[in-house]
Amino acid sequence: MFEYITVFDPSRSHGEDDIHQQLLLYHSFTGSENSLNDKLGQIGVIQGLWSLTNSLSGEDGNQGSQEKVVQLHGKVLLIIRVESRFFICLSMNKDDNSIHHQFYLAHLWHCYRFFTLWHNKFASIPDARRLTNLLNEHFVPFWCDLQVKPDAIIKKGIVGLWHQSHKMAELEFAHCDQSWESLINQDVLLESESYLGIKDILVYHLPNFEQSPGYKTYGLVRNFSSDIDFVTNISNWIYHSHALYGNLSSHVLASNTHYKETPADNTTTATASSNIRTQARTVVPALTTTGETILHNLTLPISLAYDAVQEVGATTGISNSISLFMDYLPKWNPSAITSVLGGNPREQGPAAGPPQGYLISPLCGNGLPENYKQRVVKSQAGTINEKDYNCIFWYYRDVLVCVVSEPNFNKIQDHQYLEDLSYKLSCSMEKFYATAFPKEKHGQQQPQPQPQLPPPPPTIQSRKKFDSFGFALRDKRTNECRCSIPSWPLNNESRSYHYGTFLDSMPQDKLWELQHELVQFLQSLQNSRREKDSATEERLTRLSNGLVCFIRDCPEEMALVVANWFDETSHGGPTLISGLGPSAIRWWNQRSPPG
Amino acid sequence: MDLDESYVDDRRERANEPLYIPPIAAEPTTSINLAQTLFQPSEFDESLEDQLAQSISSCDRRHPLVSTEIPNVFPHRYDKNFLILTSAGKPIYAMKDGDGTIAYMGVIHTIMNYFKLKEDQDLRCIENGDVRFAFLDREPIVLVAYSARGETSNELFSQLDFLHSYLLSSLSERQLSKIFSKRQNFDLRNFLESTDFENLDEICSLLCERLYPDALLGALRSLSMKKSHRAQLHEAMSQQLTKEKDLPRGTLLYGLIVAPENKLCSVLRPKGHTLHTTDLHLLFCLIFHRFQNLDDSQELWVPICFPKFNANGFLYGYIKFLPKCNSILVLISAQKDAFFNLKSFADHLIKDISSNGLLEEIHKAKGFKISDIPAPLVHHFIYKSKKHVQYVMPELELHSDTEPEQLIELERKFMTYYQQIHNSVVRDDGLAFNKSCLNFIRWDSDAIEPSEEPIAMLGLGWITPKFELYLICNNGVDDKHVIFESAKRIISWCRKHESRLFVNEGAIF
Repeated sequence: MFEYITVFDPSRSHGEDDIHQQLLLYHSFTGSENSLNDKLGQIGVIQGLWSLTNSLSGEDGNQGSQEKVVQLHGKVLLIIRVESRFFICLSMNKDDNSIHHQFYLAHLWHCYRFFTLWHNKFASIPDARRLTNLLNEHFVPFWCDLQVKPDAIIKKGIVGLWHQSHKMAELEFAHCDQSWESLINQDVLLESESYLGIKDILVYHLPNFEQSPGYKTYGLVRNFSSDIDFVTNISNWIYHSHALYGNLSSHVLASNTHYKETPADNTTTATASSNIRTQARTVVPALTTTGETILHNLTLPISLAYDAVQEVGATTGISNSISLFMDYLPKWNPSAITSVLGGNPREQGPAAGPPQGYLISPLCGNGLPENYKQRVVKSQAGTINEKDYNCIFWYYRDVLVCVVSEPNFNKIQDHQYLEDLSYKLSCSMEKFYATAFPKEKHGQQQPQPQPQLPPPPPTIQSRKKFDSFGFALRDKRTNECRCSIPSWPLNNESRSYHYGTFLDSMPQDKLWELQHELVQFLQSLQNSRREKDSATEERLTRLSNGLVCFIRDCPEEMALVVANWFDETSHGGPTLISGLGPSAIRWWNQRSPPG
Repeated sequence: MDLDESYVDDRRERANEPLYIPPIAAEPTTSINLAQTLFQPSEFDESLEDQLAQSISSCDRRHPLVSTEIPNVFPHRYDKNFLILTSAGKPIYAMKDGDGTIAYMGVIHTIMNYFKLKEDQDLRCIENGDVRFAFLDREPIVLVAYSARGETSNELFSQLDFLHSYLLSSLSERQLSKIFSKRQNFDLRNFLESTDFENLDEICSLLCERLYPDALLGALRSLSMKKSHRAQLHEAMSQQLTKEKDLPRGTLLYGLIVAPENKLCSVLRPKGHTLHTTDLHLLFCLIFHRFQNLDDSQELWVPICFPKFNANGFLYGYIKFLPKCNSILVLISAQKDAFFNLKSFADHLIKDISSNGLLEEIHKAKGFKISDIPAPLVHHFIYKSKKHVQYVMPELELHSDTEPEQLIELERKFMTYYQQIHNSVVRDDGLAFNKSCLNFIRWDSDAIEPSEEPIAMLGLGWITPKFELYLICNNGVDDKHVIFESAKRIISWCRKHESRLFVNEGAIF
């Protein structure tokens, strides 16, 4: 599918002799060995294309569009320019690929943005060799993973197209004396020990795609500070990792997990720590089903060990054997780590209470790399205000909490403090579940006495139907988006009338078809030639297959609402949105204005 | 609803007509039952009736103003250009040759060849923000378009194909390949005549500046005239063919009568054969641009290649202006020396139809106005019948003192609206989103000048397997029900008057 990815900086070369210095990264996915000349030829043509199209479009060097899509008959080249001089180009084949190239273009941006989040802007890394190494570590696995598991793109759906914004979760909390938010505010953020030390707390509700009560509950529930600039990037990174690996384990959050496409004669394994035991058991079928792709962990020395097995096997003629393989596994007790690192919540025993714990924190074992202790994110990378923040991650059932602290806040290293923090967070999260899903039994046991809950608002009780429409909204000013259109079917058991839509039970191929349709609508809207800064465009499209879609694009927001017009019988109102039925009109009129 | 057979009817009468068509009236217009299931017509309230009355009374004005009433939502700063070069990179033509555009052709050539040689792939298009580039490689000619006007790739390709077809119609494919097989770097500019460049200019201006939906819709505009008159005309053509004993069978391939503004009036064709729409577009363009100075005493015999019919050979066209009606008779033959045969055929035919008074009728057929159709609040529309591959639209009603520049401005505005509405129902590859697709599209904006009305334009695009309708409302209309009702009325009106709006079978021999 992918052919190659390349990153280059033409300003690094000053003449014919040092032209190769432009090339920062060139990775071929097909395994074909291109000569340096070929590579230079390719990047030369890309530059030629870039300047030709810019000149003919009447755009100056640094102005104009920063992305281009070049379509050949069987291929697409996606090119973006970042920091006004670095070009990133992905070449891919079009063959039997049902994913629109716009998704890949958006992911090219995602990939770059994640790089700036964890490393820095390209321009801030002057040493070309170091930059090349970092690019190799970051870009190549990112695209290899997508090559192996394009589902990650499908799971995110059209939200993945909006790389400038992050998805917000929409949960309605029943009213109570002390909300989970005020608990966090009082006990953590404003508390004397951590005041000003903890910069922000980002709370995500990330149920598994299949087991979510509704796609609109997926995403960032809220954060508390308004002046951190990396919320969008870190949120999208978390969503991406979640969609890709299905489970946010410590290894995933430490950026240490990657898929590896297993060639026919080679199988390798390793997965998140808590699964090591189960994984070891599944190795046997994995070894027999060749060509299967399985989770590959780069940090753990397993793959190294396995390579050694392979090599020994190859030289001595001993065939791959699981006992030999297991001998090379590092010896530790996986369950001991589980208690620290968390792991798969569903594997916890029924009596264990709601699964919770740190995923990334200084509490982890000393032998693990720095990324397991805390993640360092760049804020305002590339500017004079550039600053690093430390992030630790903690989870409670389906909630992921990211605690962002100032770099000089040493308290965060203190084990006692971390345990207290964990307790405070779990109190808050208990409240969170109690108020967001009031009818649900949350957790199996309630060790804490529950405060008396007021009866849930009547709206929640009276809802016995799923939403008859799905929506996707992108606020262009706050970079937040909301979406209830799933691209992955939900299990019937987990759906909640309160958060679900009529789309949730559709089969996956239908949902993906819908997403594809929406991409086409959005693209068609992109071609609109109205004065985009001042004029609003609304469209109401009805197709004979039953889809009715309302799109509104104005300087403040982009709104997209879909429904099935076979189901809607009454069409009151003269406006375009009223074509989606009464419940959509009600929702549209009640929703808070953008901004 | 009982519509008068004559659609140039009394307007006052129409004010008493029922204000909406009962759903049943619209039924035959759609293949799927959109009309019934989509919007149940709400009761017309009083304010609506006022609006309707207003719109009808506005038709009663001496000079109905269609022209400048609707605002332009689309700023006109967007550029577009067509480039034609040879496969060896030699420039042939550039629509706008500013800033050394010709010089870029070398770069284009290099890049296209790179992909061809290294990747074994042809470059198709580049999306660069708002500007889209399309590359059409038709060895030995390469055509490039770039535009910031929001066309789909398919639209740009079809425009390039049109330009390429023109070159073929002038040179024929055989001649082209003969020239380039001898010398790859042949400079075609020396071979083309100045009229060729003028015609290319003319076609480009049609595609870019004028209200010329023909290429966008892939259809011909037809001249509306009474069914009986058209039948008589076809009858006369058929009879003439049987009467003409000197005319050996097969000499005459096609006969066409074309009214000004490229409107098809009648066709004489062999059974089972039709000419491709693009070929006819080309023919009409040539006739009206190359021969516009002819008078009715002159006649022409021109070789012309119809690229979609047979790109390798020439047909011969006998072209004569019909006296008194500005229309043109075209007779097409495959034989080089059939001039005198066709001339005598034409003379007799003209004599025949002028004695019947049909020439007068062609002259009198002035099309229809938007006010002829009981479709309130609709400003203008295009209706395409897929079966006929023809479209109709109301005449633009202009002030008598409209300057040519204003006219161009106006046509461009209309064209932009239609192009945007059309693109809202089709994918990038030119296919409709679905078998049937109905799309309302609305643009809102503050007024450009404080004194002006705010902009609130509503348009509608409706594609079904049988027809396509594109419609623009008056500024300020915001009720989609009214528009949908109007759309249904237009469709019902067009279907009712199908035989007078469209050339159906023509005279078949």
